Amino acid sequence: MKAAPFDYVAPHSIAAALAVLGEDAKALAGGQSLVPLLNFRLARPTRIVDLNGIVTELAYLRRSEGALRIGALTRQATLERSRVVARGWPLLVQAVRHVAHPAIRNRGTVGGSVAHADPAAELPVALTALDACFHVRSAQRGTRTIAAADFFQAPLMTALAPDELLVEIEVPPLPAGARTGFAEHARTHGDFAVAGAAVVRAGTEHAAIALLGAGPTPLRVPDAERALRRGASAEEAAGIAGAELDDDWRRALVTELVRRAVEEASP
Amino acid sequence: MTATAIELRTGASDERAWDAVAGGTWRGPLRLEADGVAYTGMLRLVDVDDDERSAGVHAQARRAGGFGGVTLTAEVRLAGGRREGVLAVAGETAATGDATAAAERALEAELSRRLVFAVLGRDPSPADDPAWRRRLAARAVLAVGAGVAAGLAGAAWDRRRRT
Repeated sequence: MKAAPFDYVAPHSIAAALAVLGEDAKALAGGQSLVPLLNFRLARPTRIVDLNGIVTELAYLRRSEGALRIGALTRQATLERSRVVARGWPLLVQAVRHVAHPAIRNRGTVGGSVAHADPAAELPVALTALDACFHVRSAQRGTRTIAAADFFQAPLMTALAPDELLVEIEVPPLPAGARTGFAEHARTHGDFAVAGAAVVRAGTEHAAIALLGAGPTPLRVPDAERALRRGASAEEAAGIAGAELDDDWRRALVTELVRRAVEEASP
Repeated sequence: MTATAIELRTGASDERAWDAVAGGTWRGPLRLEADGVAYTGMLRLVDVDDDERSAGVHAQARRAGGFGGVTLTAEVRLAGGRREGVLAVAGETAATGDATAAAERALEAELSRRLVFAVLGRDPSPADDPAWRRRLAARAVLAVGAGVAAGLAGAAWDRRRRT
């Protein structure tokens, strides 16, 4: 199938992009999710706003005052090969390596994956575990910041208003001595994940567990996190995390993946 | 894989050098030639660490009309200490297929040229290196000294010849 007819706009500045975003308009970044949706006619926007003309403004990875700032148009492959990210936020590198295949990561963007909010996507889960926040901008209301817990609302739905553009993702520094782990299960390598888990752990000071494929959005499991902080073993914490799920098969899978991710994040 | 370690003496201040590196105006498409073969590719700024003043660089170029290519993955940072405006590039290059070591060196040279151009607004010159300028000044002093000595000796010889 081919996409339904649409108007194509390729702005050369953020302001120009914001001016043409709105109801029935879709922002095109790497196109690795949107283009298949268009071709299957699952999405029928009347206007496509191609952001690749403002890639110099919105594609960057910058560590500043301890925090990582990721421009929304940063390619996933750039995230994967960044030494700054590998040193300070290894969970992002662990997660992005599970995203499809290198050819897709060369085009796919971090912001695109976040704004698409696929419940099987790896980066939203990793960013949720890292307590990231998202800076969005609109022509009418200016800039606002949304925490990861509030950003993802339902499958393929976020807190982004139709006239808003995700411009930057801010990831706070990890606690001292933190270790991270990521585990997922997909039917074949590079396929959409069935389930997964992202873990950040810093002794008994800090623990964060985010689940992939356990709900309509990335899911934090505060009970399991609390148990980890109190010194529970990987098996115990995984059991608590899995107990959130009703389906037997998925509960068993998530429990095992959380156990692996917690063990990877343990010293 | 071949290790890369280059020092670029820009002669500019640390602030100016860092702004140019982090600004990334040096990135973009590239074209180089090695052993008579053309290569085309891209020079990318991967990341910027403002806290440690270092930047990640990735460059790749593919052999035109043949099989093979070269890549360069490196970190650019201010050398620091008392070496004002010196950029240290450390990383590794790799050649695949029919690409040669000369292509790796050409890729390093292109990165160096672009970085210095970004800092100074012109291509690099040997005079950007203070050590080179000191050696030049020493040679100039020697040359002038030798000239003066020769002149004095000539004048003395001439006076003696007349008397």
